[in-house]
Amino acid sequence: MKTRNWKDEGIKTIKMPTMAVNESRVHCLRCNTWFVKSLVQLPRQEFYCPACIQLGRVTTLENFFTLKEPNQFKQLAHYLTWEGKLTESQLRCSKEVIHSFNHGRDHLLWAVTGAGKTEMLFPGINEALQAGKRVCLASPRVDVCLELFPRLQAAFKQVDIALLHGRQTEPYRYTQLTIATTHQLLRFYHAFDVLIIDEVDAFPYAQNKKLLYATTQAKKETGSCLFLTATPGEELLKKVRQKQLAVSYLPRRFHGFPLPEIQVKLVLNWYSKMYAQKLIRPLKKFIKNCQEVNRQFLIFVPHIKHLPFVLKAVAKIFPSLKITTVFSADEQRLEKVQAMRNHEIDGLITTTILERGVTFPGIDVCVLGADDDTFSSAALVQIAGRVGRSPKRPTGNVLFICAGLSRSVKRAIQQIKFVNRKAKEEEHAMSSVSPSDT
Amino acid sequence: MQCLLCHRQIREAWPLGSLILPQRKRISTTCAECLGTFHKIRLKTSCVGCGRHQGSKNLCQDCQKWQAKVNYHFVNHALYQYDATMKQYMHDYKFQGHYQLRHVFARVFSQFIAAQSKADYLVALPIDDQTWQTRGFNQVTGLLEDLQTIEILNMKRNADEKRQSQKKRHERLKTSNHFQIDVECPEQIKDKQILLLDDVYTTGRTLRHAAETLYAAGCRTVESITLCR
Repeated sequence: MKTRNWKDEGIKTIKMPTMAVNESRVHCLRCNTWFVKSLVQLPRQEFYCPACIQLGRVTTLENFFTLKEPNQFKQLAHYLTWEGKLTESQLRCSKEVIHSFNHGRDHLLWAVTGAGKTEMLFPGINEALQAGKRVCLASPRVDVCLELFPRLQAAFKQVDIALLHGRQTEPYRYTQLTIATTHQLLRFYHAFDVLIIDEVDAFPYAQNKKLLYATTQAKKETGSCLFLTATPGEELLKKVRQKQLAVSYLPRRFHGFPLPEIQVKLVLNWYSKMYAQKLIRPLKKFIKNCQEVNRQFLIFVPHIKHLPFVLKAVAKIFPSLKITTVFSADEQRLEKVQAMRNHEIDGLITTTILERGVTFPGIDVCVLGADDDTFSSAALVQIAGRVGRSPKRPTGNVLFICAGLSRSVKRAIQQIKFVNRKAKEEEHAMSSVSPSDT
Repeated sequence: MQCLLCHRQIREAWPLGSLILPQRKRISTTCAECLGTFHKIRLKTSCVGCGRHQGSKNLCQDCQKWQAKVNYHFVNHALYQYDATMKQYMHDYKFQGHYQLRHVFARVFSQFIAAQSKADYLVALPIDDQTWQTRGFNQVTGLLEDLQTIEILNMKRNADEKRQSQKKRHERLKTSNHFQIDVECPEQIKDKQILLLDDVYTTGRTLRHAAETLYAAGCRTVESITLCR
């Protein structure tokens, strides 16, 4: 790899402290975590940060060095080589996004699951690259990054793209377009003009103050940030209400149908009934429905420990069904998901790991114990969003089985109703325009 | 309290008696599941020379070779097996520099030393100045809770030389002695029993270098205890 000598090019390195120390506490200037002094003290009055140690230790023994972002990129004749077409509403959203980019504002793009978010980004990225801006597309999940990389590379064939994540073995390269996990953003300081964060509501970004701080540090002070999500959390919505954040809605899926609405069935003690090998009635009906028309299904449970007995109970009543379980530490996870895609099995029983990112066309979904703490409202909306993804069967059943309506179940139902209402409004507004190709 | 290794919450039962008779209960820093992944060495099934975990109490092959090579008395005891989980721990603690992780073993290690030792002085193996600069702590003294050690050894390593841990076995055995006695000390340690403390015993080269230096300064016996072998 060619190394550049920044000093020869007349660019000065800026030296910065690594930690701020006051009388009783210290805080890390990379990840903004605060500590009581005595907990993170090294001998000889030095301190270190245990919170972001996975990225290499930050100590008071060292200094940070940064370069002012020079934006030295080779101008290309064409950036975007993608030749697909956007729908009316996708076009409208991308225009709004470009507007925010040009004015250095933060923007929230609220797009329902399966709306074609990535394609919608292309014009915005294209415009930014043409203007010589440095762009980063970040996601909290490695698998999302790995999936985005080939899609972006195909859309911008001439552009050199760097892919950064924890298991990356290639050395870092300075590129105009970067794809990274949100953790990697901690390594950047005032670097990006445009920072796009995909799936803001996904674990671990949503709960992690460290990563929120990383976003504000990684973009330039004049830069803009675009948040993409299907299920915005309270924080973001509050900012929207306070007009600190511009917002665009993409309430319709690419095939134009509304999101399937959630049906709730209240069942007390589903847990002990299933444990006693009794299949609760709504679930039995749900599976029977699927079996009759030979349709695949997913059953979500709150915890790994629920998987074996739910599987047993279902297999007892429906011995002819081919079903299996999938969980995060499962060694055959990818094979099983692939088998599901190939229609080799009829259904999967799983935990929240399959809540997002995976698409099985035309399935039905059931959530057992939807009122459990493990299912946040974002997770529930995502799970409901697994249904009705194919243009051939744009509807489907989403069944929640719980003992009572928890706050997150209620909120999930409300959110889906809200976007469907938005979609209808949009349809009315565009009724003069002919509906786009679906 | 969060577990230092898996970051899960540790739930501890507080005995009812502690309400009536206030007693100092140590808060544990590591959960039982994580501690269970490390394997202790039992005295009955370890080499008497170096403390290596094996089937019997006999001298292991390495120790037999050492016996043929050197003519002084040297014995090592170890607390844990240096297996994959321990290697990972050492990597995080020492090389990544996660100083908080010392609490995982500090108490057991200190108690083990206090129970074994009949020595006059404890000596923790020193690290060189360059390591002080980058790591910022001595990994051995970090593992000792309130045991009194004396600093009588100095370590000097050439700037371009590799660390022991980066070398192959035969390279490690060829290393020359980097230890020196602090000039002021010889009188204090003359004819005394010394217990050397270190984190890992791998080939035994480093510890024997330190032992040789101490014997040359007039110590009566030198033995050692390491956290793992």
